[in-house]
Amino acid sequence: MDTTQLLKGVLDLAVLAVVEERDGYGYDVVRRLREHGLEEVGDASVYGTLRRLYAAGALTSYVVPSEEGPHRKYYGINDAGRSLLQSQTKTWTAFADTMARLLELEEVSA
Amino acid sequence: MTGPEDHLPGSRRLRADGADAERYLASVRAELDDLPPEQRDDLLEDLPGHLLEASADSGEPLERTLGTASAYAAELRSSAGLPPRTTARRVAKPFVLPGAQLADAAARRAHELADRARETPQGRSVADFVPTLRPAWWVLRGYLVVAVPAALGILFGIGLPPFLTLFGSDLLGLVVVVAAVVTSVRLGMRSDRLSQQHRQLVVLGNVAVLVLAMLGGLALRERVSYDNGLVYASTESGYLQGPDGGISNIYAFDAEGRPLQDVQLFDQEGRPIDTLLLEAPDGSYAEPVRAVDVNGLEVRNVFPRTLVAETWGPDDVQPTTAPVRAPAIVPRRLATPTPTATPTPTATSAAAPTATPSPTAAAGTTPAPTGPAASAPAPAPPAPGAPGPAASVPAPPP
Repeated sequence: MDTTQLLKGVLDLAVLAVVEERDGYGYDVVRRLREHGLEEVGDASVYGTLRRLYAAGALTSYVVPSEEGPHRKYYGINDAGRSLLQSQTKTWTAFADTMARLLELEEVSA
Repeated sequence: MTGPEDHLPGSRRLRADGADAERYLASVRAELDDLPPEQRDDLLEDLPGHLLEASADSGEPLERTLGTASAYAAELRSSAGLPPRTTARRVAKPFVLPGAQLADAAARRAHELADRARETPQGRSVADFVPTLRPAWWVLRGYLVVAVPAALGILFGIGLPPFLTLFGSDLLGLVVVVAAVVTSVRLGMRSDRLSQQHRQLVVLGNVAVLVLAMLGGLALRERVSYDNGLVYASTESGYLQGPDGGISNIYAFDAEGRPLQDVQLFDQEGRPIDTLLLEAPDGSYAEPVRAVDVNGLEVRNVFPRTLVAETWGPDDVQPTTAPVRAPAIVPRRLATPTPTATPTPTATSAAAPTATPSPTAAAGTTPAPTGPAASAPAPAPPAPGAPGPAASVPAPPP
Protein backbone atom coordinates (compact mmCIF):
# COMPACT_ATOMS: atom_id res chain seq x y z
CA MET A 1 0.00 0.00 0.00
CA ASP A 2 1.20 3.50 -0.73
CA THR A 3 2.21 5.04 2.57
CA THR A 4 2.31 8.53 1.13
CA GLN A 5 -1.42 8.29 0.35
CA LEU A 6 -2.15 7.22 3.93
CA LEU A 7 0.06 9.99 5.25
CA LYS A 8 -1.97 12.64 3.49
CA GLY A 9 -4.98 11.76 5.61
CA VAL A 10 -3.18 11.87 8.95
CA LEU A 11 -0.55 14.55 8.39
CA ASP A 12 -2.48 17.20 10.31
CA LEU A 13 -2.72 14.88 13.26
CA ALA A 14 0.94 13.90 13.10
CA VAL A 15 2.12 17.51 12.84
CA LEU A 16 -0.13 18.61 15.72
CA ALA A 17 1.20 15.78 17.84
CA VAL A 18 4.81 16.60 17.13
CA VAL A 19 4.32 20.31 17.83
CA GLU A 20 2.45 19.51 20.99
CA GLU A 21 5.41 17.50 22.15
CA ARG A 22 7.71 20.50 21.66
CA ASP A 23 7.64 23.77 19.70
CA GLY A 24 9.44 23.54 16.41
CA TYR A 25 10.24 25.29 13.14
CA GLY A 26 9.46 23.84 9.75
CA TYR A 27 12.44 21.69 9.02
CA ASP A 28 12.71 20.64 12.63
CA VAL A 29 9.16 19.25 12.44
CA VAL A 30 10.04 17.35 9.26
CA ARG A 31 13.04 15.85 10.97
CA ARG A 32 11.16 14.81 14.07
CA LEU A 33 8.35 13.20 12.07
CA ARG A 34 11.00 11.15 10.31
CA GLU A 35 12.67 10.25 13.58
CA HIS A 36 9.28 9.00 14.75
CA GLY A 37 9.21 6.61 11.81
CA LEU A 38 7.23 8.59 9.22
CA GLU A 39 10.16 8.51 6.85
CA GLU A 40 8.23 9.15 3.70
CA VAL A 41 6.75 12.40 4.92
CA GLY A 42 7.05 15.06 2.25
CA ASP A 43 9.08 18.15 3.03
CA ALA A 44 6.72 20.47 1.23
CA SER A 45 3.67 18.80 2.75
CA VAL A 46 4.85 19.45 6.27
CA TYR A 47 5.76 23.02 5.44
CA GLY A 48 2.38 23.64 3.85
CA THR A 49 0.52 21.90 6.65
CA LEU A 50 2.19 24.09 9.28
CA ARG A 51 1.22 27.20 7.33
CA ARG A 52 -2.36 26.01 6.96
CA LEU A 53 -2.78 25.03 10.62
CA TYR A 54 -1.34 28.39 11.62
CA ALA A 55 -3.68 30.22 9.27
CA ALA A 56 -6.58 28.20 10.69
CA GLY A 57 -5.68 29.40 14.18
CA ALA A 58 -4.55 26.05 15.55
CA LEU A 59 -0.94 27.13 16.03
CA THR A 60 0.90 30.14 17.37
CA SER A 61 4.18 31.29 15.94
CA TYR A 62 7.15 33.35 16.96
CA VAL A 63 10.46 34.20 15.36
CA VAL A 64 13.77 33.18 16.87
CA PRO A 65 17.03 34.66 15.57
CA SER A 66 19.60 32.15 14.47
CA GLU A 67 23.36 32.64 14.41
CA GLU A 68 23.69 30.85 11.13
CA GLY A 69 21.28 31.56 8.32
CA PRO A 70 17.92 33.30 8.42
CA HIS A 71 15.64 33.67 11.42
CA ARG A 72 13.43 30.74 12.23
CA LYS A 73 9.72 30.75 12.70
CA TYR A 74 8.76 28.45 15.51
CA TYR A 75 5.29 27.01 15.83
CA GLY A 76 3.61 26.12 19.07
CA ILE A 77 0.22 24.65 19.77
CA ASN A 78 -2.63 26.69 21.32
CA ASP A 79 -5.98 25.78 22.82
CA ALA A 80 -7.72 25.54 19.48
CA GLY A 81 -4.94 23.30 18.23
CA ARG A 82 -5.11 21.15 21.29
CA SER A 83 -8.84 20.53 20.94
CA LEU A 84 -8.32 19.81 17.24
CA LEU A 85 -5.62 17.33 18.21
CA GLN A 86 -7.95 15.68 20.69
CA SER A 87 -10.84 15.26 18.29
CA GLN A 88 -8.58 14.04 15.52
CA THR A 89 -6.91 11.59 17.86
CA LYS A 90 -10.34 10.18 18.72
CA THR A 91 -11.28 9.84 15.08
CA TRP A 92 -8.02 8.16 14.26
CA THR A 93 -8.11 5.76 17.16
CA ALA A 94 -11.64 4.72 16.35
CA PHE A 95 -10.74 4.27 12.72
CA ALA A 96 -7.58 2.32 13.51
CA ASP A 97 -9.48 0.07 15.92
CA THR A 98 -12.10 -0.60 13.31
CA MET A 99 -9.48 -1.46 10.77
CA ALA A 100 -7.62 -3.68 13.23
CA ARG A 101 -10.80 -5.58 14.10
CA LEU A 102 -11.68 -5.95 10.46
CA LEU A 103 -8.29 -7.40 9.68
CA GLU A 104 -8.40 -9.74 12.69
CA LEU A 105 -11.79 -11.05 11.52
CA GLU A 106 -10.27 -11.71 8.13
CA GLU A 107 -7.43 -13.60 9.76
CA VAL A 108 -9.80 -15.71 11.89
CA SER A 109 -12.12 -16.59 9.06
CA ALA A 110 -9.26 -17.38 6.71
CA MET B 1 5.44 21.06 25.22
CA THR B 2 8.75 22.74 25.79
CA GLY B 3 10.38 25.94 24.72
CA PRO B 4 12.37 26.34 21.55
CA GLU B 5 15.68 24.64 21.47
CA ASP B 6 17.93 24.14 18.59
CA HIS B 7 17.45 20.53 17.89
CA LEU B 8 20.24 19.75 15.50
CA PRO B 9 21.40 16.21 14.97
CA GLY B 10 24.91 15.47 13.82
CA SER B 11 23.94 15.65 10.18
CA ARG B 12 24.65 19.35 10.43
CA ARG B 13 28.29 18.64 9.60
CA LEU B 14 27.46 18.88 5.91
CA ARG B 15 27.55 22.37 4.49
CA ALA B 16 24.49 23.84 2.88
CA ASP B 17 24.70 24.66 -0.80
CA GLY B 18 23.35 28.19 -0.72
CA ALA B 19 23.36 28.68 -4.47
CA ASP B 20 21.43 25.46 -5.00
CA ALA B 21 18.87 26.44 -2.36
CA GLU B 22 18.50 29.87 -3.94
CA ARG B 23 17.94 28.42 -7.39
CA TYR B 24 15.45 25.93 -6.07
CA LEU B 25 13.62 28.63 -4.17
CA ALA B 26 13.41 30.78 -7.29
CA SER B 27 11.95 27.91 -9.26
CA VAL B 28 9.37 27.18 -6.58
CA ARG B 29 8.49 30.86 -6.45
CA ALA B 30 8.03 30.93 -10.19
CA GLU B 31 5.65 28.00 -9.96
CA LEU B 32 3.52 30.02 -7.55
CA ASP B 33 3.41 33.17 -9.63
CA ASP B 34 -0.30 32.88 -10.26
CA LEU B 35 -0.97 33.60 -6.58
CA PRO B 36 -1.47 37.15 -5.32
CA PRO B 37 1.97 38.46 -4.34
CA GLU B 38 1.18 38.87 -0.63
CA GLN B 39 -0.15 35.35 -0.37
CA ARG B 40 2.86 33.96 -2.18
CA ASP B 41 5.38 35.90 -0.11
CA ASP B 42 3.59 34.83 3.03
CA LEU B 43 3.70 31.20 1.97
CA LEU B 44 7.38 31.35 1.08
CA GLU B 45 8.41 33.35 4.14
CA ASP B 46 10.34 30.56 5.87
CA LEU B 47 11.29 28.56 2.86
CA PRO B 48 14.83 29.99 2.37
CA GLY B 49 16.01 28.73 5.74
CA HIS B 50 14.03 25.57 5.33
CA LEU B 51 15.71 24.73 2.03
CA LEU B 52 19.14 25.64 3.36
CA GLU B 53 18.70 23.18 6.15
CA ALA B 54 17.38 20.49 3.85
CA SER B 55 20.42 21.05 1.66
CA ALA B 56 22.77 20.80 4.61
CA ASP B 57 21.03 17.71 5.86
CA SER B 58 21.53 15.63 2.75
CA GLY B 59 24.50 17.32 1.14
CA GLU B 60 22.91 16.54 -2.19
CA PRO B 61 21.23 18.76 -4.77
CA LEU B 62 17.74 19.66 -3.59
CA GLU B 63 16.23 18.52 -6.84
CA ARG B 64 17.39 15.01 -5.98
CA THR B 65 16.17 14.93 -2.40
CA LEU B 66 13.00 16.99 -2.77
CA GLY B 67 11.99 16.28 -6.37
CA THR B 68 11.44 18.92 -9.03
CA ALA B 69 10.54 22.42 -7.98
CA SER B 70 7.19 22.16 -9.74
CA ALA B 71 6.30 18.99 -7.83
CA TYR B 72 7.44 20.66 -4.63
CA ALA B 73 5.32 23.71 -5.33
CA ALA B 74 2.30 21.57 -6.13
CA GLU B 75 2.70 19.72 -2.83
CA LEU B 76 3.08 23.01 -1.02
CA ARG B 77 -0.14 24.26 -2.52
CA SER B 78 -2.24 21.24 -1.74
CA SER B 79 -0.98 20.90 1.84
CA ALA B 80 -1.38 24.61 2.51
CA GLY B 81 -4.94 24.44 1.19
CA LEU B 82 -4.34 26.56 -1.89
CA PRO B 83 -5.87 25.87 -5.30
CA PRO B 84 -3.75 24.09 -7.92
CA ARG B 85 -1.82 26.19 -10.35
CA THR B 86 -3.73 28.11 -12.95
CA THR B 87 -2.16 30.32 -15.54
CA ALA B 88 -5.03 32.68 -16.23
CA ARG B 89 -5.67 33.61 -12.62
CA ARG B 90 -3.32 36.51 -12.42
CA VAL B 91 -5.33 39.56 -11.57
CA ALA B 92 -3.92 42.54 -13.40
CA LYS B 93 -1.89 40.88 -16.10
CA PRO B 94 -0.49 43.63 -18.32
CA PHE B 95 -0.79 41.62 -21.48
CA VAL B 96 -0.67 38.03 -22.53
CA LEU B 97 1.96 37.19 -25.06
CA PRO B 98 0.58 35.34 -28.03
CA GLY B 99 1.38 31.70 -27.60
CA ALA B 100 2.48 32.23 -24.01
CA GLN B 101 -0.17 29.95 -22.62
CA LEU B 102 0.84 27.33 -25.11
CA ALA B 103 4.46 27.68 -24.02
CA ASP B 104 3.38 27.46 -20.40
CA ALA B 105 1.31 24.39 -21.02
CA ALA B 106 4.16 22.74 -22.87
CA ALA B 107 6.62 23.55 -20.08
CA ARG B 108 4.23 22.19 -17.48
CA ARG B 109 3.65 19.06 -19.49
CA ALA B 110 7.41 18.55 -19.72
CA HIS B 111 7.68 18.89 -15.95
CA GLU B 112 4.90 16.38 -15.44
CA LEU B 113 6.59 13.94 -17.76
CA ALA B 114 9.87 14.40 -15.92
CA ASP B 115 8.11 13.83 -12.61
CA ARG B 116 6.50 10.67 -13.88
CA ALA B 117 9.76 9.47 -15.40
CA ARG B 118 11.41 9.80 -12.00
CA GLU B 119 9.26 6.99 -10.66
CA THR B 120 11.52 4.39 -12.26
CA PRO B 121 15.31 4.21 -11.89
CA GLN B 122 15.88 4.31 -15.64
CA GLY B 123 13.50 7.22 -16.01
CA ARG B 124 15.27 9.00 -13.23
CA SER B 125 18.64 8.66 -14.90
CA VAL B 126 17.19 10.07 -18.12
CA ALA B 127 15.40 12.86 -16.27
CA ASP B 128 18.64 13.68 -14.50
CA PHE B 129 20.67 13.54 -17.67
CA VAL B 130 18.56 15.70 -19.95
CA PRO B 131 18.92 18.92 -17.91
CA THR B 132 22.71 18.58 -18.09
CA LEU B 133 22.42 19.24 -21.81
CA ARG B 134 21.05 22.72 -21.22
CA PRO B 135 24.41 24.54 -21.46
CA ALA B 136 24.97 22.95 -24.87
CA TRP B 137 21.62 24.28 -25.98
CA TRP B 138 22.48 27.75 -24.70
CA VAL B 139 25.64 27.78 -26.81
CA LEU B 140 23.83 26.50 -29.87
CA ARG B 141 21.07 29.06 -29.38
CA GLY B 142 23.57 31.89 -29.28
CA TYR B 143 25.07 30.74 -32.54
CA LEU B 144 21.71 30.23 -34.22
CA VAL B 145 20.46 33.65 -33.19
CA VAL B 146 23.17 35.17 -35.37
CA ALA B 147 23.60 32.52 -38.02
CA VAL B 148 19.95 31.94 -38.89
CA PRO B 149 19.02 35.53 -39.76
CA ALA B 150 22.31 35.94 -41.60
CA ALA B 151 21.73 32.78 -43.61
CA LEU B 152 18.16 33.79 -44.37
CA GLY B 153 19.37 37.21 -45.39
CA ILE B 154 21.74 35.68 -47.89
CA LEU B 155 19.05 33.31 -49.12
CA PHE B 156 16.60 36.05 -49.84
CA GLY B 157 19.16 38.37 -51.28
CA ILE B 158 19.25 41.00 -48.58
CA GLY B 159 22.94 40.34 -48.42
CA LEU B 160 23.67 40.56 -44.74
CA PRO B 161 27.29 39.93 -43.90
CA PRO B 162 27.89 36.19 -43.89
CA PHE B 163 28.36 35.46 -40.22
CA LEU B 164 28.50 31.82 -41.11
CA THR B 165 32.16 31.88 -41.99
CA LEU B 166 33.18 31.42 -38.42
CA PHE B 167 36.71 30.33 -39.13
CA GLY B 168 37.19 32.33 -42.26
CA SER B 169 38.53 35.82 -42.22
CA ASP B 170 35.24 37.22 -40.99
CA LEU B 171 36.35 38.69 -37.69
CA LEU B 172 33.14 40.65 -37.25
CA GLY B 173 31.11 37.48 -37.58
CA LEU B 174 33.25 35.81 -34.97
CA VAL B 175 32.89 38.68 -32.53
CA VAL B 176 29.13 38.86 -32.97
CA VAL B 177 28.72 35.10 -32.61
CA VAL B 178 30.83 35.01 -29.45
CA ALA B 179 28.85 37.89 -27.97
CA ALA B 180 25.58 36.15 -28.79
CA VAL B 181 26.75 32.87 -27.29
CA VAL B 182 27.86 34.58 -24.08
CA THR B 183 24.54 36.41 -23.83
CA SER B 184 22.60 33.24 -24.46
CA VAL B 185 24.50 31.30 -21.80
CA ARG B 186 24.07 34.07 -19.25
CA LEU B 187 20.38 34.20 -20.03
CA GLY B 188 20.21 30.44 -19.61
CA MET B 189 21.91 30.58 -16.22
CA ARG B 190 19.48 33.22 -15.06
CA SER B 191 16.40 31.56 -16.52
CA ASP B 192 15.26 30.23 -13.16
CA ARG B 193 15.13 33.70 -11.74
CA LEU B 194 13.22 35.33 -14.57
CA SER B 195 9.66 36.46 -14.11
CA GLN B 196 6.97 34.38 -15.69
CA GLN B 197 6.52 36.84 -18.51
CA HIS B 198 10.20 37.00 -19.32
CA ARG B 199 10.40 33.25 -19.22
CA GLN B 200 7.54 33.02 -21.68
CA LEU B 201 9.37 35.45 -23.92
CA VAL B 202 12.47 33.29 -23.80
CA VAL B 203 10.50 30.15 -24.56
CA LEU B 204 8.80 31.82 -27.52
CA GLY B 205 12.15 33.12 -28.72
CA ASN B 206 13.59 29.63 -28.50
CA VAL B 207 10.73 28.27 -30.55
CA ALA B 208 11.14 31.04 -33.12
CA VAL B 209 14.87 30.39 -33.49
CA LEU B 210 14.33 26.68 -33.94
CA VAL B 211 11.50 27.09 -36.43
CA LEU B 212 13.49 29.62 -38.45
CA ALA B 213 16.52 27.36 -38.39
CA MET B 214 14.45 24.48 -39.72
CA LEU B 215 12.80 26.59 -42.41
CA GLY B 216 16.18 28.01 -43.32
CA GLY B 217 17.61 24.54 -43.59
CA LEU B 218 14.81 23.45 -45.89
CA ALA B 219 15.08 26.56 -48.05
CA LEU B 220 18.82 26.12 -48.27
CA ARG B 221 18.43 22.55 -49.46
CA GLU B 222 15.92 23.59 -52.06
CA ARG B 223 18.12 26.36 -53.23
CA VAL B 224 21.14 24.16 -53.54
CA SER B 225 19.30 21.72 -55.77
CA TYR B 226 17.72 24.58 -57.68
CA ASP B 227 21.04 26.22 -58.30
CA ASN B 228 22.61 23.08 -59.57
CA GLY B 229 24.33 23.89 -62.85
CA LEU B 230 23.56 27.58 -62.69
CA VAL B 231 25.73 30.50 -61.85
CA TYR B 232 25.18 32.74 -58.91
CA ALA B 233 27.17 35.45 -57.34
CA SER B 234 28.46 34.41 -53.99
CA THR B 235 28.48 37.29 -51.58
CA GLU B 236 30.91 35.26 -49.57
CA SER B 237 33.83 35.30 -51.92
CA GLY B 238 32.85 38.31 -53.96
CA TYR B 239 33.43 36.35 -57.13
CA LEU B 240 31.00 34.86 -59.57
CA GLN B 241 30.48 31.25 -58.66
CA GLY B 242 29.61 28.20 -60.65
CA PRO B 243 28.41 24.94 -59.21
CA ASP B 244 31.94 23.63 -58.82
CA GLY B 245 33.73 26.79 -57.84
CA GLY B 246 34.83 30.12 -59.14
CA ILE B 247 34.28 31.36 -62.68
CA SER B 248 37.30 32.70 -64.47
CA ASN B 249 35.98 33.42 -67.93
CA ILE B 250 32.79 34.01 -69.91
CA TYR B 251 32.20 33.08 -73.53
CA ALA B 252 29.37 34.72 -75.44
CA PHE B 253 27.74 33.62 -78.66
CA ASP B 254 25.19 35.24 -80.88
CA ALA B 255 21.91 33.74 -81.92
CA GLU B 256 23.55 31.94 -84.79
CA GLY B 257 26.05 30.37 -82.41
CA ARG B 258 28.94 32.51 -83.57
CA PRO B 259 31.44 33.40 -80.83
CA LEU B 260 31.49 37.05 -79.84
CA GLN B 261 34.73 38.78 -79.04
CA ASP B 262 35.36 41.74 -76.75
CA VAL B 263 31.96 41.73 -75.15
CA GLN B 264 31.61 44.21 -72.33
CA LEU B 265 29.47 42.96 -69.46
CA PHE B 266 27.52 45.12 -67.02
CA ASP B 267 25.20 44.28 -64.19
CA GLN B 268 21.68 45.65 -63.61
CA GLU B 269 23.12 48.81 -62.08
CA GLY B 270 25.35 49.47 -65.01
CA ARG B 271 28.45 48.44 -63.12
CA PRO B 272 31.08 46.62 -65.13
CA ILE B 273 31.24 42.93 -64.22
CA ASP B 274 34.83 42.03 -63.55
CA THR B 275 34.56 39.94 -60.43
CA LEU B 276 35.97 36.82 -61.92
CA LEU B 277 38.68 34.60 -60.59
CA LEU B 278 42.18 34.86 -61.93
CA GLU B 279 42.86 31.23 -62.38
CA ALA B 280 43.34 28.59 -65.02
CA PRO B 281 41.12 25.49 -65.04
CA ASP B 282 43.82 23.61 -63.14
CA GLY B 283 43.64 26.18 -60.37
CA SER B 284 46.93 27.89 -61.13
CA TYR B 285 47.11 31.66 -61.25
CA ALA B 286 46.24 33.19 -64.60
CA GLU B 287 46.68 36.80 -65.59
CA PRO B 288 44.28 38.32 -68.09
CA VAL B 289 45.79 40.15 -71.02
CA ARG B 290 44.99 43.78 -70.44
CA ALA B 291 42.30 45.35 -72.59
CA VAL B 292 42.43 49.13 -72.94
CA ASP B 293 40.05 51.74 -74.23
CA VAL B 294 40.92 54.47 -76.72
CA ASN B 295 42.40 56.55 -73.94
CA GLY B 296 44.70 53.78 -72.89
CA LEU B 297 42.79 53.06 -69.67
CA GLU B 298 42.34 49.50 -68.62
CA VAL B 299 38.95 47.89 -69.25
CA ARG B 300 38.41 44.86 -67.12
CA ASN B 301 34.95 43.70 -68.07
CA VAL B 302 35.79 42.56 -71.56
CA PHE B 303 35.05 38.96 -72.39
CA PRO B 304 36.13 36.38 -73.18
CA ARG B 305 39.35 37.25 -71.43
CA THR B 306 42.62 36.02 -72.73
CA LEU B 307 44.21 34.38 -69.74
CA VAL B 308 47.86 33.57 -69.37
CA ALA B 309 48.63 30.96 -66.75
CA GLU B 310 51.76 31.47 -64.72
CA THR B 311 53.59 28.58 -63.15
CA TRP B 312 56.58 28.84 -60.90
CA GLY B 313 59.20 26.17 -60.70
CA PRO B 314 61.30 25.83 -57.52
CA ASP B 315 64.22 27.89 -58.85
CA ASP B 316 62.35 30.21 -61.15
CA VAL B 317 63.01 33.89 -61.13
CA GLN B 318 60.38 34.42 -63.78
CA PRO B 319 57.19 32.39 -64.07
CA THR B 320 56.63 30.19 -67.06
CA THR B 321 53.64 31.48 -68.91
CA ALA B 322 51.24 29.69 -71.20
CA PRO B 323 47.97 30.91 -72.64
CA VAL B 324 44.96 29.21 -71.13
CA ARG B 325 43.15 27.28 -73.80
CA ALA B 326 39.54 28.06 -74.42
CA PRO B 327 37.13 25.23 -73.67
CA ALA B 328 35.35 23.41 -76.45
CA ILE B 329 31.86 24.86 -76.52
CA VAL B 330 29.08 23.85 -78.83
CA PRO B 331 26.64 26.73 -78.64
CA ARG B 332 23.11 26.18 -79.74
CA ARG B 333 21.37 28.08 -82.48
CA LEU B 334 18.28 29.85 -81.34
CA ALA B 335 14.92 29.07 -82.95
CA THR B 336 13.62 32.58 -83.39
CA PRO B 337 16.35 35.11 -83.49
CA THR B 338 14.79 38.52 -83.05
CA PRO B 339 15.53 40.62 -86.07
CA THR B 340 16.30 43.88 -84.36
CA ALA B 341 18.18 44.80 -81.30
CA THR B 342 16.41 46.18 -78.30
CA PRO B 343 17.55 49.68 -77.69
CA THR B 344 20.08 50.35 -74.99
CA PRO B 345 18.54 50.48 -71.53
CA THR B 346 17.97 54.06 -70.52
CA ALA B 347 18.65 53.71 -66.85
CA THR B 348 22.36 53.11 -67.18
CA SER B 349 24.95 55.72 -66.47
CA ALA B 350 25.46 58.65 -68.76
CA ALA B 351 28.62 57.08 -69.97
CA ALA B 352 26.73 54.10 -71.31
CA PRO B 353 27.57 53.37 -74.88
CA THR B 354 24.87 54.56 -77.17
CA ALA B 355 25.57 52.59 -80.29
CA THR B 356 26.41 49.26 -78.78
CA PRO B 357 23.94 46.45 -78.93
CA SER B 358 22.30 45.88 -75.63
CA PRO B 359 22.30 42.58 -73.91
CA THR B 360 18.76 41.30 -73.87
CA ALA B 361 19.63 39.18 -70.94
CA ALA B 362 20.14 42.33 -68.89
CA ALA B 363 18.95 41.41 -65.52
CA GLY B 364 17.03 44.59 -64.81
CA THR B 365 13.99 42.50 -64.05
CA THR B 366 15.51 40.67 -61.15
CA PRO B 367 16.46 43.08 -58.43
CA ALA B 368 18.08 40.45 -56.28
CA PRO B 369 21.76 41.31 -56.16
CA THR B 370 22.66 37.69 -55.63
CA GLY B 371 21.83 36.37 -58.97
CA PRO B 372 21.86 37.95 -62.35
CA ALA B 373 21.96 34.41 -63.54
CA ALA B 374 24.20 34.50 -66.52
CA SER B 375 23.22 31.15 -67.84
CA ALA B 376 25.20 28.69 -69.87
CA PRO B 377 26.37 29.37 -73.38
CA ALA B 378 23.09 30.12 -75.05
CA PRO B 379 22.28 33.72 -74.23
CA ALA B 380 21.71 35.48 -77.44
CA PRO B 381 22.17 39.17 -77.66
CA PRO B 382 20.82 39.61 -81.15
CA ALA B 383 23.86 41.38 -82.33
CA PRO B 384 23.38 43.05 -85.64
CA GLY B 385 26.93 42.34 -86.56
CA ALA B 386 30.30 42.77 -85.02
CA PRO B 387 30.61 43.19 -81.27
CA GLY B 388 30.80 46.61 -79.74
CA PRO B 389 33.48 48.78 -81.26
CA ALA B 390 36.24 49.73 -78.95
CA ALA B 391 35.74 53.37 -79.83
CA SER B 392 32.60 53.62 -77.77
CA VAL B 393 33.99 52.00 -74.69
CA PRO B 394 33.15 54.07 -71.66
CA ALA B 395 35.97 54.90 -69.38
CA PRO B 396 35.71 52.44 -66.54
CA PRO B 397 36.00 53.55 -63.00
CA PRO B 398 39.54 53.28 -61.73
